[in-house]
Amino acid sequence: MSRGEFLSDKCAEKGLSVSDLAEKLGVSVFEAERWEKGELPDSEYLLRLSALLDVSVEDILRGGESKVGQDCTDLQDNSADKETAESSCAEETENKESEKKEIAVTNNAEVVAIGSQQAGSATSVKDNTSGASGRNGYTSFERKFGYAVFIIFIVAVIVLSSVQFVSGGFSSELTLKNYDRYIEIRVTPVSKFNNDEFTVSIKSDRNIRDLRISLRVKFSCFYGDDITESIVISGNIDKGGTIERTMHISEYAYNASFEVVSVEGGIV
Amino acid sequence: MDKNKNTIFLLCQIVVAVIGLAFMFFNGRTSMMLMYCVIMAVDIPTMYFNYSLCKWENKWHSRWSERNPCDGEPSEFRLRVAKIGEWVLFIAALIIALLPI
Repeated sequence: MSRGEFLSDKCAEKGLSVSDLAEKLGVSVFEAERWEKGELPDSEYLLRLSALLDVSVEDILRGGESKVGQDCTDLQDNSADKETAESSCAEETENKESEKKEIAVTNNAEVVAIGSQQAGSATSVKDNTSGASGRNGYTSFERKFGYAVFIIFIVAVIVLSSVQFVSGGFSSELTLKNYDRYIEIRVTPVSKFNNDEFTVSIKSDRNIRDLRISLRVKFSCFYGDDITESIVISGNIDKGGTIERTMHISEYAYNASFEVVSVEGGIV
Repeated sequence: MDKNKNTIFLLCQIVVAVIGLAFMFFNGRTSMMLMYCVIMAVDIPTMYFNYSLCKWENKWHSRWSERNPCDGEPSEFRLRVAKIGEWVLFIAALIIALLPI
């Protein structure tokens, strides 16, 4: 029996396909197929292969030669022509001997290395045979480090949240995108006729700290061109409160429209 | 046993990432939330499947750039460098979550 046949038989006994074997040992299917065709596996895979198939490394190297010897004996017993059988057996044994020597020469260093490792690393070999995907995940050191990071982060989150809660709860920023959800802006004339004074009022339904809002107000005048004025309003507004500023213009205007240029502030 | 430990650790990692996201949300740090989500969504699976990804990368590298194809088995050095990079990214994302940006 050749090495390839021996490996194929053992895989079949274990119910492993070529792809299963390849996956479990972390090699390509092409590589595993080469082994089943009789190629000698690399030394790094020999131990794992022997652990996976429950055979010795020696058996893998020799292709289960003891069985071949048994077959040869059977052949000798059953053969009518003993002389022919003996000669064929002798030839086969000689071939095997030469093959064994070749293996011994080419893999001498590998076998010695494997042998020295075998005693001490039986457990780790078992672990490594759990397949390519079995090496995904985390090492024990990595897990310890990770848990330390998690604990530090959670402690930091708790401390920062506590500080914020004590200093007035969670807040968020007021921006150009969200200001209209929290504040209402109006520009209205002070009097009904001859309007040269307008009131800019900002009403909020939240507590807003450090509000700073910049408006560009466009006044449509009765007799002249439109006037554009800018105004910056700043301060704190409590929930339901209002800030008002008055704008005075040089002409009478019948209407005023505004554009918000910038908004800053913290919503509490 | 190791697989259970890995699963528990992965769940912890996801929980920590969600805590970070919630912290950003409640603090109104919306500007960095998208970046945080992208980093975590990429980094956590990458960290878990580090070995497979390194192997896959090696295989494709050898297929495209080397004369002889190989089975892509990554070296310990390669695996460690990748892990370190992934942890750096993960910790950076957690720091982003805490920063008042």
